[in-house]
Amino acid sequence: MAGTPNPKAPSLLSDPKNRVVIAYCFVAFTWLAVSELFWPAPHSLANRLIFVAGTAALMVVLRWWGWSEAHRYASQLQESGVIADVFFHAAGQGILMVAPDGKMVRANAAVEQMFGYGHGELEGRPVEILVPERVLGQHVAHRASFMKAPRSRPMGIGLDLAGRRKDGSEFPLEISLNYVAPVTASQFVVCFITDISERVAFERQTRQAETMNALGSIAAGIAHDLNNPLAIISSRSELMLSLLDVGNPDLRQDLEVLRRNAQRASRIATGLLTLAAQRASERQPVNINELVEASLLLIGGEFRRSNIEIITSLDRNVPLVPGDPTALQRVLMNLVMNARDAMPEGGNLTIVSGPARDQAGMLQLSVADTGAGIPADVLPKLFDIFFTTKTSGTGLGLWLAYRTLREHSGRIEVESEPGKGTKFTLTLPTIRDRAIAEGSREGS
Amino acid sequence: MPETILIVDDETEMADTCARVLRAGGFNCLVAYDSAKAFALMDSERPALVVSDITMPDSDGFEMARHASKKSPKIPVVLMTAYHTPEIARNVQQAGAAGYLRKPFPNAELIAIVKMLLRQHVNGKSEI
Repeated sequence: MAGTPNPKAPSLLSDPKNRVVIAYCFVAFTWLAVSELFWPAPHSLANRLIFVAGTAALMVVLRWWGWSEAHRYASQLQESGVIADVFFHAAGQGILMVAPDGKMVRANAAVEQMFGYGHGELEGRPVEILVPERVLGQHVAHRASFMKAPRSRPMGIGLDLAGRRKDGSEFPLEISLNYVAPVTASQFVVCFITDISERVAFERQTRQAETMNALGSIAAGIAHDLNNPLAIISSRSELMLSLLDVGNPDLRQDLEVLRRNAQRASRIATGLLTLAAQRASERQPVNINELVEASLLLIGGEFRRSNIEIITSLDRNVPLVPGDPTALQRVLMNLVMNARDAMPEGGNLTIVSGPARDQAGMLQLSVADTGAGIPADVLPKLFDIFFTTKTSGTGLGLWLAYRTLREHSGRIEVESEPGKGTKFTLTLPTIRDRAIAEGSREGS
Repeated sequence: MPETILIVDDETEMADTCARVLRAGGFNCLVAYDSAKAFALMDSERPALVVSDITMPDSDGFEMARHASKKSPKIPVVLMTAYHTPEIARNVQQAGAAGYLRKPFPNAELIAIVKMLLRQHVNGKSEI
């Protein structure tokens, strides 16, 4: 142990057993001297018997002493072994002991769980079964060079390390290598392993959010730069239309097309601008039913004219959602308008709100139509940016809906059957603390 | 005598387009492509109303609205922008602008808002 200071050289008297022997010798010599001088028969049998009995008693005491000390030492060793074992297996971090030949000597429960192996399954097997196949060769070489000059250090600095689970899947990890100098004949490397999947996923999400924010500001700039020329095209087309002779129907039609398309391009630019508006929204308690009612107020008349019947089933005691009401309303309006577009011949729009059946603390809102439905091959692309099946669509609506729900720690799912209709379901976390929810409801 | 409208936009073709539309609507139009000229025309020609872009290199529409509101009598200002964000809408209100147009807008909308504001302005003055 490098850290502990050298103990002092033991003096003869520091061991209690030595003290007992010295004391005995002192008593024995004193006895011999006293008996030689004063005992009437110093060489008698009785005197010798006393001497022999005293020596025998000393031997017995010393023997018993030795036994009990060995026993105490053994039980202490056992106890510390048990404690070490408890620490070893209770550790959240993976701990793996590897022999110089690459065989795993011991693996704790965290390692077994991390790599998907059962208890005791790893011991005795080569450590390379935990290494992705693509880096196997490198790993063997690295291990050999490490063992030539072993020292404690983090493994693979600057590299993205990965582990291979029993099922062949890979996951990111961090490893610190600790060389244990041989105390006995055996030597080994102790690896401390951390599964960093969650951290890597979080970092990826953060990077994506930053990219989206950057894209949002670029989109705002593009929208502005587009809207100016589009305004000029649209206004000038209108001016020309107003000055045009009645007898020139073709030219009139051409100008109408120009004007209409300028307006369409502007709608796309405005769609891009909503990306920018998505940033940095403020959270407040939102009653999802109020959003539904507000949306229906806006579109009710249009739906009646389109021969669409609106059926609602809104849970009156629906819990509040921590969210951005503008963004959530935009999602809802988008779903409702998509439903209208899916039912050009009319049909039913059904909106249902209530607590999620299978998840406590979550709320569900579904928007279902009886329209044309979505083909199965289109469904996986539905939430992709710029994906649209409509001639005048921007491909932003459902993508924004997906993003908004994700930002609210919720999700959006779709079920569809061609010819029967489509149902979108939003699942959102609710405000669990009733006091806060009630307080803000009164305050608003 | 038709009222005079001052149009301010650094996008010269946009400014000219608005002038064409308003002239067709029966108004007199003055055009400024920068704010310095706009301030000068506001002082010398005393237009009945100003239609101004918000984002310009040397100044902005909000400044235009503040300058116009200091005049006696006040000159109503319609701000137009290609940035459609809720923040812009709030700033328009705070700057004391009388109207707000989002580019692109139908010509009829420009004429309608100008006519409405001029009517309100005349009524407002007669009430005083």
